[in-house]
Amino acid sequence: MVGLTLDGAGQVPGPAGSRVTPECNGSSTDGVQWDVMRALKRRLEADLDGAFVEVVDRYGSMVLSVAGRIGDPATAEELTQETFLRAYRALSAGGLDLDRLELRPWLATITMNLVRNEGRRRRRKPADPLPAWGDDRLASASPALEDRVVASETEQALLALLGTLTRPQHDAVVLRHVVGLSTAETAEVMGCPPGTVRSHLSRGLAALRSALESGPEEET
Amino acid sequence: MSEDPVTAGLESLGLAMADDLRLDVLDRVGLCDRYWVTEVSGLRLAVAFGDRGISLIRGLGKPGEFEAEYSRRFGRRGLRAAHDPPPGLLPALRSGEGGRVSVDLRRSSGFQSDVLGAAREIPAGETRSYAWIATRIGRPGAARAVGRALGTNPVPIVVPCHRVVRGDGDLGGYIFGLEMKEELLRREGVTLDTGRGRP
Repeated sequence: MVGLTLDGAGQVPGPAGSRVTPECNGSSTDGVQWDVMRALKRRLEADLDGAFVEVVDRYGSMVLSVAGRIGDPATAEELTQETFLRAYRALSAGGLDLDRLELRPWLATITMNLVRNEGRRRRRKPADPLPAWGDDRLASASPALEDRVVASETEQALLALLGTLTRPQHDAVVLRHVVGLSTAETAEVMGCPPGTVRSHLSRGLAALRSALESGPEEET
Repeated sequence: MSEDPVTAGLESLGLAMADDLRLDVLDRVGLCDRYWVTEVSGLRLAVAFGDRGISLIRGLGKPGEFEAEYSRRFGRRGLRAAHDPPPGLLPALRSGEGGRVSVDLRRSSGFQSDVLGAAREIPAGETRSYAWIATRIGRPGAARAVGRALGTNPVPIVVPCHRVVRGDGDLGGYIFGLEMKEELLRREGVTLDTGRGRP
């Protein structure tokens, strides 16, 4: 069974999957200085518990955005928790080469895998109720999140248009422009070459633009 | 180009992690401790605890004060209200027998841990001097340092630093004030003979 099990480690990608793509303009780090990231990684080695709180604070919104904008907003908070649980377990198990590990795309990849598994699980058993996570907070938290995610009509329109893109275009546009990953990071998370990402991006954005232009003008 | 409404609109679709979710995440990972509020002899206490035991006991002051001290000591771990008190806490606070309650002293120095460990050996209803503790931990002459270590005891009452008094019979100091020290000792049956204006 491929479901969302808690045994984590098996589905957590290692840094071996990360590619260094110097031909991509811009670095594959996440816009923070290299030495800041190195210092954080060193703290992860020295004091995992203390430094992991920093990782959650730094990347929580990024992970939530992947979970809620690639996947279903109703399960985004749950998948965010699950992402960090798996990351924590992988880090505490050791064996990851922290020097080569890029935290941001690594976390985004874990989230993407969870989103895909969740989608697969639902398609297999469409009649299933929402997963029983043993916690009723999810039920009360989800409406609040859904209130937050649909803030304006313009955003709602944009979300609807995003839904009309092909899956790879959708994912590329969301990872690059909603989540804010670099092109190289987007390529890493999607598991395809950066050139392919660029082509998904330009087609996806063009489709969004023409749909917005042909649709009714909305001034706010 | 930078004013492109489409990319600007997409950017605004990003989601922000709220405090509740942050705590949920830390909780799920095991990096969120709990607190319980209780009362001992009229003093309202906040008690923080995690898997390893009780980590902080302080008087309940202004809102946010306890959380602030907690994060000073333990970093930005999560802290949220507990559904139940930590095992053994309430009987320990009632009886003064805190010996079986687990405490988490990881953030205490080695010296302070030694001092607190020695203080834990003092049975209810008895007192010892700062010098006794100093000798007990193999640091005779460090009585003043013992006093300072007890003065910042992270888990008072459970580690009964109120049973440590000065050699001359003076009560010394106490983190919750001298009145509370007297009250705790009195309810354990210690006869106070401190010449503090009592009959």
